[in-house]
Amino acid sequence: MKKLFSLFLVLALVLSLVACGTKADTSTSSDNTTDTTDKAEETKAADTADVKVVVGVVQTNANESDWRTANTKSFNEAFGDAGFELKMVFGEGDHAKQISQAQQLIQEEVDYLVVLGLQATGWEDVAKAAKEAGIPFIMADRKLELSEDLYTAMVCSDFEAEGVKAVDWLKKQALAVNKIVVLGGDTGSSAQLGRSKAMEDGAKANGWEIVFNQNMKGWDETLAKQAVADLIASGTQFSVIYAENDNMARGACDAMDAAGITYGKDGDVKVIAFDANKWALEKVLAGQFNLDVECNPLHGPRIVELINKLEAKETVEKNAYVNEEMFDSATITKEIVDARSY
Amino acid sequence: MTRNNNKLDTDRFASVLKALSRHRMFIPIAFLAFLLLINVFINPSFLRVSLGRDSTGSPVLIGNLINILNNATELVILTIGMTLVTASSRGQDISIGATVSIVGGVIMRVLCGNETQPTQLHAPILVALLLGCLAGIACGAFNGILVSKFNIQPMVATLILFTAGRSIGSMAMGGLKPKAAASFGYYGNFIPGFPVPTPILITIGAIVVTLFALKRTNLSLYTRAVGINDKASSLNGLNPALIKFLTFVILGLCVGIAGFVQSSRVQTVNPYTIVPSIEMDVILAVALGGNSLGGGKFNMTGSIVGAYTIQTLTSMLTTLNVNTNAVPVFKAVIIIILVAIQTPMLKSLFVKKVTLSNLTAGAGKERG
Repeated sequence: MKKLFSLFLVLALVLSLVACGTKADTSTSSDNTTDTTDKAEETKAADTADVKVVVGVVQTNANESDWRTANTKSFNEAFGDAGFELKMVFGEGDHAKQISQAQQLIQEEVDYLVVLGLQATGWEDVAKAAKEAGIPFIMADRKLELSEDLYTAMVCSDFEAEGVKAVDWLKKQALAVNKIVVLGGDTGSSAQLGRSKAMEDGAKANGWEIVFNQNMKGWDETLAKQAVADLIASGTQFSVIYAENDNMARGACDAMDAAGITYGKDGDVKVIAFDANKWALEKVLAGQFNLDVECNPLHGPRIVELINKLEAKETVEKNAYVNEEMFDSATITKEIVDARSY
Repeated sequence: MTRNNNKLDTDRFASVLKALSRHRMFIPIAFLAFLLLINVFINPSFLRVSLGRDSTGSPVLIGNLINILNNATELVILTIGMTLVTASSRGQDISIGATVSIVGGVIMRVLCGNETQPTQLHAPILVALLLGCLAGIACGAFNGILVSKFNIQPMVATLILFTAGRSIGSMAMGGLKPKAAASFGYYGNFIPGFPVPTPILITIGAIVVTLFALKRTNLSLYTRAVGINDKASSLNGLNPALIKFLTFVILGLCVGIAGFVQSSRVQTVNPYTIVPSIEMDVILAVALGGNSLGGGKFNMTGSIVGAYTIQTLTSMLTTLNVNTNAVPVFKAVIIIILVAIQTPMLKSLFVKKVTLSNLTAGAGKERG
């Protein structure tokens, strides 16, 4: 009896979870429908084609950051406008889960598979399976480590180029001392690999000293704050914080605040951040961050354009990189910050 | 005469050492002392604590020791709850990282409502704390019912929230990533004008309350009795299911407090990354404290010392700037050493050596 009841309880829990999941799904699809009614003209054009193009998107996390929220929204809106059917799944921080989700989408015979990988490696089997099934494999946001013949196209941020921008900027500042603290992101993600490599190479080339270089699990603000506090307490001298996302830069600033170290435009320590969320640009404007290198989340329209070209059998650029800017506290204006939507 | 005195001294020293090494607190404290010593050896100013000023001009204590005591707060509070759960249920709760995420999500939602950059708090902090603790207790009670009523193994029962917790935390926040107003930060940082980090005070409070409760109530006795043999304790008039359930509820309360401190540290919560894999560190702290993970007898002070040991290790890996790829290996090697020394085999070897040296000292005395 007890066993039966416990089984029932577990089932109830599982079902309630499933219910939550589907609820979320329907809400996104209803978003799509409202979008499609708004843009009736486009949908009409899409309806003329007999079947809707089904695109499977393997996203990283639902609410990882404001950046990711803007990224997901961009997909929902652009795909809705284009009249594509969007099947979006979330890995929720789990690399293995993403891979099985991608394989599931291949079995469901989607027309296109778009992957935003949590980790850069381990995607060969998925790409091969997609190729065998005749499904074009598109990488978005983060470049995965795949040989050229395994994927159809990519629209990614060039993380190393982002890092090189920051390095060039730092070179131009011509600081008397360059003692750099590198706060890396999740070990093995392409964003961390590219941004760390740029600074490591830059430091070698310019004779700068990297006094700290460790990756923070989950790009976590608290961990970054505690690490910088530990460095200050142990007497490590540094003049530059190179934080690979906005949150870790904010955590580092918190730690410096607590120890009375000045930073930013008029301070002793220069702060370099990545991603350029709106709140971070406000910090750049206020002179708390010296530099924020953009990582553009609005991939939806680019992927739609790419798929439209593929549908029309046009040739596409295989390795497309997103055009990205950087924001310097010396030159940023209020208009730039206000124009930011995320 | 002097020779005789020397002999007596070594004699006494050996017997004191022997008595010490047999004390159940010897190994946990020796580990901590060993790690601190290594740190002092590498960086002589490691233990120095200085009074500095933060950017607003209020006095603050700065030092590695302060950081360790400060950052260990969540670990210590969770370890207290985990020690009791381990003792009574003969298993571990692996969902605590995920439930901290739920608590953090609830607290942020209460304080920030639906705004992402609120300039003031939407509710009194006390309300947030109470609701956070309530969420933690609810999670603990859920786990507790599965374990005590339905006799599901703790690790399996807590696997449910381990899997779902972080997503629930994200839902609780309504998909937003708000940052609460700065006044919420007092509980994870400093109260302006008071130089000791608030988390240290919270930890001291938690430890005092725990040790007092263990001394003055039957909690300790009942927990041990149930952990050693629940059938026997049931025959003696205890209700094992109720006591197991209670320990999970206590752990839930610990999760509530830890989640409150953690979300106050940077006044924001990322439900997917908050306290990453803390459950492993907490279980390890319980093991380092000389507790059997198979339940029964437990050593609360040992667990707490174990938690500080792990935080010292974490802090050490940062200040030494260990290569980021080598950090997990480094940590694993040290932990293997620490755990291996505690195994009965190596322990008996160690004790044998002490007795041997004692014997030779004694033999020398006879000869003299």
